[in-house]
Amino acid sequence: MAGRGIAQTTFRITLPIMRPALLAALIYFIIVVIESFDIPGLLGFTARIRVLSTAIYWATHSEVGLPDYGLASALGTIILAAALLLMWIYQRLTAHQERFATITGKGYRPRQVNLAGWTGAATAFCLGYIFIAVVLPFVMLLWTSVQPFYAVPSADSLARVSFEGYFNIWRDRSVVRAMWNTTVLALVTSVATILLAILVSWFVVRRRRTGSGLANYLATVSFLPQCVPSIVIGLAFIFVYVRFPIPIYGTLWIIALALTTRYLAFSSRATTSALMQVHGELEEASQMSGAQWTKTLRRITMPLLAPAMINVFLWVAVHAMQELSMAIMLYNPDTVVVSTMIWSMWQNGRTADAAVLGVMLIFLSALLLLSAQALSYFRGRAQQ
Amino acid sequence: MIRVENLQKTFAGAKGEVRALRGVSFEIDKGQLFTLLGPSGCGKTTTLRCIAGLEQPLAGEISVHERVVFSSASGVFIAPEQRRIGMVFQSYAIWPHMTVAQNVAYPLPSGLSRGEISARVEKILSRLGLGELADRLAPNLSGGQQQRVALARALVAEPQVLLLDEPLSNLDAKLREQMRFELKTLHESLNITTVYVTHDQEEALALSDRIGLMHEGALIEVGAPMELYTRPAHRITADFLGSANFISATVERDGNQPWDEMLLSSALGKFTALRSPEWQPGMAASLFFRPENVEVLNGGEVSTIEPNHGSALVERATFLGNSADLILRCGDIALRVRAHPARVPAAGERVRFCVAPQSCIVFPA
Repeated sequence: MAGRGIAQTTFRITLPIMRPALLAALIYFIIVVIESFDIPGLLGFTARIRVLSTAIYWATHSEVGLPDYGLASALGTIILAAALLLMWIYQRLTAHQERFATITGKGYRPRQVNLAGWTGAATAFCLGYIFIAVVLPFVMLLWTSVQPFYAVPSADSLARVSFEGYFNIWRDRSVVRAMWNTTVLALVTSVATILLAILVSWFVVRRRRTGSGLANYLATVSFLPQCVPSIVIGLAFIFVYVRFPIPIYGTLWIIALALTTRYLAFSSRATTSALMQVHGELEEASQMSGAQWTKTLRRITMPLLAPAMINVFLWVAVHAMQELSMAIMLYNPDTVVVSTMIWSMWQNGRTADAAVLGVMLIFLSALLLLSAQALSYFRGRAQQ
Repeated sequence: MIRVENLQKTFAGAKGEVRALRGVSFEIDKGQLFTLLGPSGCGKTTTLRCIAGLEQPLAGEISVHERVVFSSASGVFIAPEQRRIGMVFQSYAIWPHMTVAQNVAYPLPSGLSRGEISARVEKILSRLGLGELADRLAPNLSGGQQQRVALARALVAEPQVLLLDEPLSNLDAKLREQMRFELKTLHESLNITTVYVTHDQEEALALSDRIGLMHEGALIEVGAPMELYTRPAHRITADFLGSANFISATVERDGNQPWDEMLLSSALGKFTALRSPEWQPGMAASLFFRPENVEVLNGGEVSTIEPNHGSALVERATFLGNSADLILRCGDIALRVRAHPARVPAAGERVRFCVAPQSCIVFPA
């Protein structure tokens, strides 16, 4: 309106307004990248490229010599400090968001920019990104899984396509065990996480107004694991539970416990916002009807939170199924899960088997998410 | 019966502590309907929630039917689920994931047989005219129906006490009047000790055996509706219940003899009022009478200086159908008058008026 072109508007108005959001997003992704383990671990293995997170792993899983826990904890402290610092900045940046929220006021309508000759290029860029980041890797994974050994697609290798890998893999006893363990892990973790998350948010939402300091404390503590990189949690769990009076170390339960700790942060956030939508009088009515708080939780609060609970449950289950960085620090041959199985297959050159397991893992996750969609769809229909 | 003694409660506010209840005491006889009336924020709902056990008071004692349910002195706090109290919430709090029958069956003890449960649910539902709605999900009910379900749920376990927190405030005017009537009939037939919280004075006057008027965390005055309306002992009660005229006046004669009336002088002229003790000649006072107790007389000027009579200019006259609202101007004083609709004076007309001495009450200035 002030006679400026699109380019000038973008650089002088839009970008400055979006600056805090962009910065926050940037920092958030730096945290994600710093703590990511699986991708640098798998891709950097052959190239011998080490980042902090994988260095922690290799310090404790040395190919030669004894594990160096001192080095691992030193690296862990560095990565933890970096993550905490970044998280603090991130919180500062997102704390004052209301200041910039005016653009969503009345009559706000996104403006369509005429890209003119650039339309094709923009479309190509977006499609290209999807192709390179999602389609291509998945197709290659599928391709590799139906090949007896890793081979570039060609007429030659096309002749060798067979689904034998999907059948043969079950002969490996440890694959069966990994599948079973993963199922148990996903179930136990998601159930434990959801129950804890509801307890936490119930205390935070319902007890906060009575002025209990404990509730605020609980809210902060349960969110802290969000700032701690997974690999560091894995490392810490080794230190804490190796000498723990309850013999949990070396079992599947310690992995479940680590995952629960990690996912509780996100889950309790989700259930807290869901619980805030449930009017407190609904629970008080149950109390006045003579119900103990356990009955209230079971018959009133939980059913009302069911949609949110299903979402959180699935989120945790899918993440637990795919989680590598904590599991890899804590597993042993008995407690192998699919993700660690893929990891060791990759390292031992069993690429085709790794690909088969990878495809199965993806399909399993997709199936889980689809069934949830179907479930919520039919629930919605039943309500009408 | 319910006995509340010196109940105190504070809330943590933004600027330190807020004293929500400043020593509230009252007693409710068995089977009575007692209303806590007052503007929002006066502490009436907090008092109710303390009786329910949903709030823990700072100090005081509450007993329900001879059982102490809270006592700060002896450290007793009975959990709300063990108090055998039924409650209807302002939002009704009908559980949306259950049918009407499931909602109503919820408070029944789990030891009952299936047949017994459905019999009791059916009984209370038909009593409240909800028989056909038993299998309906709560979100598919109208406001009035939800209200009835909430009542049925509060009553099904036959509690000793029923608490009602602004139960009619979410209904439209027509329905509110109908439900008020139904509540009254229901209470008369069940004879259950009931505490009713409302800010609506009409509701309070129509329903209650006794009313407790609350103001800023304190119970100002307790009495039967008629008594509270016609002979309020406190200025706050006079002001809150119905509408009021307050005229500043000076005591001329305090009336030492029981049959005497007090004489006061004011800018409107001399007034006699019912005698009350503690007054001395020369004291500043506030004369109170209600708009409907002012009688507008025919004929212009006041000839004789008669007490309780005056003349004024009609500033505004509003015809309301079954009555008319007048504003009478007399110097600095604007009098509110509720007149009979048959003879409404026109604005600008000069009228005479009088107020009966037994309708005049004197409060401290």
